[in-house]
Amino acid sequence: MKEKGEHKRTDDIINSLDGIHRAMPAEDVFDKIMRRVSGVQPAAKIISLQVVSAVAAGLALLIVLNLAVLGNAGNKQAGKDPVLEVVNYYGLADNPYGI
Amino acid sequence: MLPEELLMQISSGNAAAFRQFYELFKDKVYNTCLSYLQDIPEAEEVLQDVFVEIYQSASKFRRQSSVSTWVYRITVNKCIDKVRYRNRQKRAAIIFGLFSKTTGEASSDFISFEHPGVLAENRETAKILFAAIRQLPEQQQAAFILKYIEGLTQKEIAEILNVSGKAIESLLQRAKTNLRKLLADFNG
Repeated sequence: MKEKGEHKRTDDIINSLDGIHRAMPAEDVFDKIMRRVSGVQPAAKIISLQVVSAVAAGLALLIVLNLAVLGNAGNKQAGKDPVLEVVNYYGLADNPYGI
Repeated sequence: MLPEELLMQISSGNAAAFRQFYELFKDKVYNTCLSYLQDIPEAEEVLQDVFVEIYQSASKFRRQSSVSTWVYRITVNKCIDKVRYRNRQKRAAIIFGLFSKTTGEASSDFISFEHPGVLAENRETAKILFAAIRQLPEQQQAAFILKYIEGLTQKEIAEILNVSGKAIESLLQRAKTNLRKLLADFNG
């Protein structure tokens, strides 16, 4: 009995669309469409602040990482032994008796 | 002028023909969008998208189906795209919500959607039905709306959704079964 009642209720809900009327779009929609097909953009696209912040954070991180890598490379360059550099420059490493 | 002839005129840039075509199909397109998206501003946005697409691809219409079927097909596809976009936005909002003070919840409450064309005495039950329709899978949702709100035949729906007649029958059956389950939950 209870199940029958539930079935009736669900059927009533499904049938609640009987006699539904067609809704009408706003009057100015066609003008907006015409502006779009004529290649005129109605308004600039709004980008949310969150997206801008995320992109800015990503860029900042990229810059920091680049600076860190460049700094490390500079330190390595600066940390080279000058004696070794002279030895390498004159090719003395393989010629211990060379003049 | 027949819709096919109007499309030919539109493809050669005739604005008056385009206006006439819009007047012929705007209600069908808008009401399908409204039932599918359950949001008036979004339905108007997709209505624009559909007619822009029609204007741009009028020359591509091959008389393999009726113009009405072609228009409904574009409409359903645009609605599906919009729902997918909306779901992506929702997921992004949730992710951003983890890093900000906002909750990431969607701003509008779709449970309370009121279709402007529903009779006054059916308004409350229709609200529950629309909330349940939203929870159906994409294809079932489209089939149910086209059949029970737009009043199309199964053959027309099959052509629009590009599936067989048997598949439509099964989609509608499953949609109804799922709706019964969902509505039983609402009742309980």
